[in-house]
Amino acid sequence: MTAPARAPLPQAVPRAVQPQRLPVPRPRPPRPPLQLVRPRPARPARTPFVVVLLAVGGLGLLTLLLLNTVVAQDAFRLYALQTSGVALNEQEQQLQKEVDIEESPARLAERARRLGMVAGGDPLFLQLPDGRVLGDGPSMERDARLDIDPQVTYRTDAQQRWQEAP
Amino acid sequence: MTERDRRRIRRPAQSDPVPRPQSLARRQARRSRRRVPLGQPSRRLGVGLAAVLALLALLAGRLVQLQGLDTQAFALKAEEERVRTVALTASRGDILDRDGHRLAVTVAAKAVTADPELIRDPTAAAQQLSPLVGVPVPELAERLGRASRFVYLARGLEAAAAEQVRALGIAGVFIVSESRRVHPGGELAANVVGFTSQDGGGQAGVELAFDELLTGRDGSRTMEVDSEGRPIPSGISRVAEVVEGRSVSLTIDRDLQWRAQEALAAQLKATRAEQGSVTVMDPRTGEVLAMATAPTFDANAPGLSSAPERVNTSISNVFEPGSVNKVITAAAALEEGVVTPDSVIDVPLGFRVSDKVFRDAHPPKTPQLTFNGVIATSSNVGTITVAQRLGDQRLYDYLRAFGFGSKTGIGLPGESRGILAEPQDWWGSQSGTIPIGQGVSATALQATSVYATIANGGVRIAPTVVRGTLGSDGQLQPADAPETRRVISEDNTRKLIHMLEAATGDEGTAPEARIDGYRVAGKTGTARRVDPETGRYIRGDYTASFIGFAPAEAPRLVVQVSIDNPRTAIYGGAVAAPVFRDVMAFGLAKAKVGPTNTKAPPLELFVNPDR
Repeated sequence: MTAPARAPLPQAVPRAVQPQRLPVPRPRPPRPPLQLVRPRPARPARTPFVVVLLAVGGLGLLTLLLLNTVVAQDAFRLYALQTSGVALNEQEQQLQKEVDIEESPARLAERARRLGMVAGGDPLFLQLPDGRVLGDGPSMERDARLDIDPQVTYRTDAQQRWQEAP
Repeated sequence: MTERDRRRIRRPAQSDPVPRPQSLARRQARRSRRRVPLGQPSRRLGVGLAAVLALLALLAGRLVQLQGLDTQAFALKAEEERVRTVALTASRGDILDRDGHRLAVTVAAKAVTADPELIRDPTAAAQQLSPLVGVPVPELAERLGRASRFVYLARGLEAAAAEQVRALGIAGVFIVSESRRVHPGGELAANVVGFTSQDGGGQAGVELAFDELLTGRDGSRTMEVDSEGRPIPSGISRVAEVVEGRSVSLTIDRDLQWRAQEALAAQLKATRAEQGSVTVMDPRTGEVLAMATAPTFDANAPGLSSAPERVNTSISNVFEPGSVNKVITAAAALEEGVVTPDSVIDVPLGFRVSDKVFRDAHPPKTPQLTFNGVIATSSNVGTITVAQRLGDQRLYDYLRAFGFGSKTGIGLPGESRGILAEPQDWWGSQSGTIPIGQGVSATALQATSVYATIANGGVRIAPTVVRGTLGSDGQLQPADAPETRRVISEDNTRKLIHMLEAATGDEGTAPEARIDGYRVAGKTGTARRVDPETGRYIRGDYTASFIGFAPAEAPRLVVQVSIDNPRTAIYGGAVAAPVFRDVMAFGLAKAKVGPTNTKAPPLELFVNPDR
């Protein structure tokens, strides 16, 4: 509503009803012009808004932290597993190497010799499907040629001397 | 105007205090001005603001400088600290035998290094370390005293030993991870497999020939790391893929190789010979199943052997084949129609070619032999007679066709082509010597491949020692098929094989090569050896050989045996044939080739003079 520049003075009392005369007021300085103050819009309370913002912000940060922790956790676990994986790999290699050495023909022949075994002679063959047996098989007499010396190293005298030289 | 508006309008009440006279305010201000210069609140605020603004300006300026002007330099520095590049080393491929048994593998090992500048007491440290690393104290002390920042103390240590060194806690001594090449078989096939240097490069044999394939290519991973060195998952990550080394699968049979090495070494010891070689091939495929040389070396410690021991003499050393070459002369003669197996050949006591008179090692029983007999009894005179009819050029052509004078194509390093002069360069007597295998030089492998050609019905297949390569998935990628070439007809091959079977017969030169139940075909050789420095034959120095195959009706294995300078006996039949027998019997049993128990057809060797 458009307020008039001046508020209307209160209605003067009709002359018919004349009250007793009021004392004349002291002369006053001119009144500052009155202005209608524009009503301020009703403000909603600030607190809930702030709380919501904080909550959202906090939640977001928390989620981020959580995600980072989870990812970092896996990264730590990965690192630990990789380290142990490398160690286990090395161990497996070592064992495999030992197996390879032990199953080499020279090693087996040496162990057989120590057990007192001798190399088998010519084998008997079983021919399938008719079941014929071929070959004479090993002779019962000990064949000196079958005494296998697993040590395949052979050196001439000259090389032996070279070997023993400091 | 509403009631609310009216209520809002505040009329100055009667009781309102009288506004202060302006003079009073002015008086108070003056007072303040006189007492403290910053008394005025606006002033205070102004100065405070100015101070804060100054600080902020400083910060802003620095920020602008960091973010705007020197960005590159700082960003780079930060990145350098954070970003780390790790090399992904490609692991070296293994070398396997034909059944997948490992002949050479790479294992993780530790190296002990030191920073001599950080070593406080080199001698004490050397004494502590010496028993653990196996290096003598003086050498360790010398290394620790060097004027360098990095020195190797020991390499290729096992984890346990490295832990002991670490436990000593000597300042300036570090443990570094590295890898080591191990040959579980030691001397087994060492001449073929070869060895690597400490840094992993192949130096000999298959390790050298296939070095690039075995090594692969290193990759790298670039990533951001935290202060502990752990990778940051969401940081930059770049990977250059590593190409793992491929494994090589050889045609070598581990057990046959060992038996060949063992039998050879035993015979060398027994005859006090200088050196020798045994080669086993499958004539149907050209695959080399065993390639043994003696003396040999331990591939795990090549430094402990002498250079001659490390040579693969089967392909690097040449020798004059002697009588085993007569089969080439015979093949050429049959193929060219110069003779037939039953042709009658005069065998006088001596045969002159140019300035030389050739004689047989053992005088022939009859003055005439059939061609069968010439080969079965290994008659020099008979062979030269036939060769004269053949002519130098044709003999040369067949020698080349059988592989003499050129590399076999096996692909191993250090192979020799052999020595075969062109016919126009043959001096007089070479027309007589070359047909009987002197005056021409070949490697053991070349000689073996000649007999493999005959065992394969006359078709020569280039010898191979590699079956193929394997990736980390274990899939075998076969090697290229070797080249083949027909040298003589199948018919003539059969005739030749009959002649060669007679060598193990009663009149033959190699009864020691007989294997009960099987038909063995082969040829002995007793050749003189040349002194490489003088180019002359060494008196009393022979190469005893026997090359043969079995079963003669359908050959499965070819075995070559050569022994240089045997002292107790010199003939191929006495020295080499027994080794052939042992290796061939073992090979046939392993290949599950049963005895055929058939007899070779009888051949007429001698011509009755009464006829």
